[in-house]
Amino acid sequence: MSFSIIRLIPGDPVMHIVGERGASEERVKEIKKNLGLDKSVFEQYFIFTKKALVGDFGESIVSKQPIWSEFKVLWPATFELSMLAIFWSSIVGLCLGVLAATKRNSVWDYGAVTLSTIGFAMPLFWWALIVIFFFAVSLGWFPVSGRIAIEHDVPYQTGLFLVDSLLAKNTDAFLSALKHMVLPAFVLGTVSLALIVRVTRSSFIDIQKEDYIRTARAKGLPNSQILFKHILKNSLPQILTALGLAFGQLLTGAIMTETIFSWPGLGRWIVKSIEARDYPAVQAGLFYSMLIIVVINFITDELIKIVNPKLRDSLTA
Amino acid sequence: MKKILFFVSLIGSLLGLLPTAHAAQNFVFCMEGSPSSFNPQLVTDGVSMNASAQAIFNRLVEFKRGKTEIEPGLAESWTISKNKKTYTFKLRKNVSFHSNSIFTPTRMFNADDVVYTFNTQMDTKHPLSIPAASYDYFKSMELDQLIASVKKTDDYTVVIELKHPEAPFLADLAMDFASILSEEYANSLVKSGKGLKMLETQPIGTGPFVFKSYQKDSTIRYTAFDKYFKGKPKIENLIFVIVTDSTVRLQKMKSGECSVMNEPQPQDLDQIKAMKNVKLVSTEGINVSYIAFNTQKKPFDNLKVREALSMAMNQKSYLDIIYKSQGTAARNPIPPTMWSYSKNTTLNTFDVAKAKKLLADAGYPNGFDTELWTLPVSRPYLPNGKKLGELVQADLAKIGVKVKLVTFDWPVYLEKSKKGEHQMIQFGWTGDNGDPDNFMNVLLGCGAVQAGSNYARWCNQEFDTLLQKAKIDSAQSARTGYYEKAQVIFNREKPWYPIAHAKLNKVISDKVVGYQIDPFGHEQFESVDLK
Amino acid sequence: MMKNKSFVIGMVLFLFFVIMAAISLVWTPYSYQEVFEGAALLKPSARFLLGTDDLGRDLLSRLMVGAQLSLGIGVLVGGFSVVIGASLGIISAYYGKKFDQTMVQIMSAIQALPSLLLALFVVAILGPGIFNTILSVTLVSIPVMFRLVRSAGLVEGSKDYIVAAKAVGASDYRIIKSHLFPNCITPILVQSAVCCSEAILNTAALGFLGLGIPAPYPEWGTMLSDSKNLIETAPQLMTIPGLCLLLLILSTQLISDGLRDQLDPKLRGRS
Repeated sequence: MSFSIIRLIPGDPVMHIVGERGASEERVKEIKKNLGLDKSVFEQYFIFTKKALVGDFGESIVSKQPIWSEFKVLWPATFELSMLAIFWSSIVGLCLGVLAATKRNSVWDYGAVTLSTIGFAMPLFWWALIVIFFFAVSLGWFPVSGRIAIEHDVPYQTGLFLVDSLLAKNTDAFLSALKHMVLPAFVLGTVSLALIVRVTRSSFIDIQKEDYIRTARAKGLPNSQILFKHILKNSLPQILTALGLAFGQLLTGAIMTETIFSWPGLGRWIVKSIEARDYPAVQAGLFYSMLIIVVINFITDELIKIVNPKLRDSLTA
Repeated sequence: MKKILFFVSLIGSLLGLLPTAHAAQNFVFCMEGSPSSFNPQLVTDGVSMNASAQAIFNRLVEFKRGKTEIEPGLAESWTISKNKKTYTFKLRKNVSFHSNSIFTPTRMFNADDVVYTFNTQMDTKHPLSIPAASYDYFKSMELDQLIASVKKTDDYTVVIELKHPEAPFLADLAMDFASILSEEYANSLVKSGKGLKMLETQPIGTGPFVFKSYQKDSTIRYTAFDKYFKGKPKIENLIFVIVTDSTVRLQKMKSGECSVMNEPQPQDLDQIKAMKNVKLVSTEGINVSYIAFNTQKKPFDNLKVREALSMAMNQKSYLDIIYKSQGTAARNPIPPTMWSYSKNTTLNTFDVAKAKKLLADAGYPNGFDTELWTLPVSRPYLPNGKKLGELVQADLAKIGVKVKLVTFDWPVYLEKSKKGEHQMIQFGWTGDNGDPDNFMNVLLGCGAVQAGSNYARWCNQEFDTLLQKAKIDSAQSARTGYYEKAQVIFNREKPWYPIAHAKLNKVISDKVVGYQIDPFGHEQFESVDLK
Repeated sequence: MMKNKSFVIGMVLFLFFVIMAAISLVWTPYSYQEVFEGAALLKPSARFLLGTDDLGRDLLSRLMVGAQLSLGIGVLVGGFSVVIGASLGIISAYYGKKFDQTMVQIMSAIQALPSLLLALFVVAILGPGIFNTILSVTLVSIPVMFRLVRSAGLVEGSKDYIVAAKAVGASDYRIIKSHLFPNCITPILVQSAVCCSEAILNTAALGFLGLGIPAPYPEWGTMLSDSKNLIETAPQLMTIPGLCLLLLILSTQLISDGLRDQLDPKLRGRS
């Protein structure tokens, strides 16, 4: 799939190497041979599949470095950012959702519904620009772009700057990395926040109406016990599904957010590779993003089975 | 809600207030694009050249800083034979190459390195030539047609024989693609099986800075070379930071992260001038931007049509809006700072009524439909091709010419335009070596039609004969005469609508000492320092 | 109650943009293309109600014409997704077997990638242009519609009355037209509004990344990215098109929420 899509992109990668000043016909042929572009499409496809299975996507045409070595540095950046985004948005989202559901038709409820509706409709790129303008340009609280201040050269261990800087016991670098992450994570989390608020709220409202909750209330159980023991537990599957969905959206969001914040992650890398017609990089990017979505779906499915034994039984039966 | 907002802003402000330590010895250059390779023989764009040739390498002869004159580089001195075909270079002694994790040089720089550097570019079957490398620049300067041989006569003497005399030859050798690489390193890469591709990612040179690391689309790190033959640079760490967005680049400059910033956008200049702690430096660039008419296609083969369109375009508004007074109106293919600039030519007059009449005379009373290709990237000579296109579109609509704006990704743009698929096209050129030949022959010569760099696809025998005469003659006064005549023909025949010669602007921090701006866009940091 | 209120708000907002686009078909303060010399980056004034852009063109006129584009594309894509996605979904559900399997696989393949990424690819393949933008945005909107309609169709198709109709010998076309389709109309309506809003968002996103509708058309996403460098000198150039975009998307989403609640109480509150 990813192979066929890419071969359709016009624009010869060879011309990209050749550049502004031109090259002779025979040179072009030689470059093609070296990139394996002289072989038939089927042969190329076969070679690609064989190598992709072992994680070898060849070399980037633009940077001439193995794709894997680029990916190794890029994915932790996206991972770190997404984690922080999902972390804050699920905490805030859960709280707001629960609050809205328990205090229906209050200011909290209207607030949460409005927030999530606007959050869904928000064009992320515009939101990012507004946030940058306000918090970075006008107030100057946070840096405009990048992952860490230039002067910090943290040795690569996990690729997660927050972890690496702590391992290197460099608090300055840690704070700098954190500061760089606040705005993009805030923007990226907006969409998942909207989703989580909405799902939490609606599933809480649904479950509150269930008979066993009414029974529990009738029995005179304390509110907090009902909330945590019954409602939360029973709405978890829905919330987890939403979280899985949110992760999928994060990937799309990451393309925009990373591009605007110059965040050196997967999303920006894919956009740049498309622009540069860097076939191997785009192929790998597609492959990895599909892989990530598959893995996330798998994990959420498993988690749902764990938290909801009923579902597990019905599935195995 | 309010509480949360309050909490968020509290954390925000706390984080914002935390001090960030600045290490004093870091010199940070914020630039607009990523390098394509670190082998100066292979790259063709300014960004890559600065990141490789200027920082890491030296050449036999070099341009004086910020000038177009030649001074000794790795060659201490040279002699040219009477028939102007034999060049003998005496090389500098005790010049060391860098070392890195996979290579430590065992000998000093000598004639072998020079012979290796040129022979691999001339003969791509040479065992040390990078497989599939095209050495485009060397070829496009036609040096493979010019150089007969490069020979070593002793360890520190190299003789270059030419097939015919060529006036700009020494200037060619000062260009980035002629940077001298280490033969010993290339050999060791072949022997160890690491492959010559490492030359593109792990460069070894003789220059002021040692390459340390490159993180794609993010940062390039260098350290000062303590054995540099012109003396160790004053700054310890040189860092190139890649920020494609000009606004973000400016923000980084403001926040003190950048020491020097490249390519500020014209619309930001007023703001920059008002900023504290930074200053704007500028110089006249050796460049030109233009709209080429494809003279092989109807209706642009008709001189009257070209005249009519030239008359309908409002050059002044382009300079005001696109260049914001950071450009000089162009009337010749070469910039006014270059020798042989003709004073006998005129700017295009702006006269819509007359343009309409001319167009009617040419047989197009109701105008026609055409395409204008707009530059997809921001270049020093043209900051925003798309917006210029929109202005031209609106201007030409007034004489009934309906323009469709077309653009492609940069490599596709280059590919298609070389084949002459365009009708009208925006282009530009930054000089390489300060010679008029490097503008007029490359962009308007008959040979360049075939090569593809003559985007007007215009071949005028009278014009071309003058260029060929000027190329062989080595007396500058005679050459000036030829070029001046050629420009008058250009002005009359209008293969292009010349737009502007853009000023080069850089923003530098107050702390920077000894920075000098270069008309070719080269960045040299060997003698800069931070206060 | 509250949802119906939002449906009304959504409709009002949506109509506002419809009117704006309709007026711009016959009248704008100036031509959206006209460059006024020496009038670049003017602040809002009586002459230019919202000021001018960096080339000296009237922002209000451009904004109005931009509404045509965003609305037009949104409605078209919403329509296409119904025509293609919904009909494929119903046919797939009704006939099942090989056809169904193939369709499901194709749709999963399309869905395996983030929609924006896929749209980006398609435009990169075909080159930017109004037609190609619509094509790419439609392509990514089809799978969701297909899935929804297919599952609704499956549920409906297994019901006794359809089985009975088949047994009586009613033609496939008749069954689909008078039984299956009317019963799937709710998810189709709701989802077409969602498709419309996503189409508007994706079009703008493409424009923002420089692969959208080419000049001289003033597409909002492109206007945004053209003026992002002027964020400090002329913030209205960036904030106003963005705000319009937000409100237009918001309106379509409110409409789809409202439709869902109105037509199908079962789906209430689900996202």
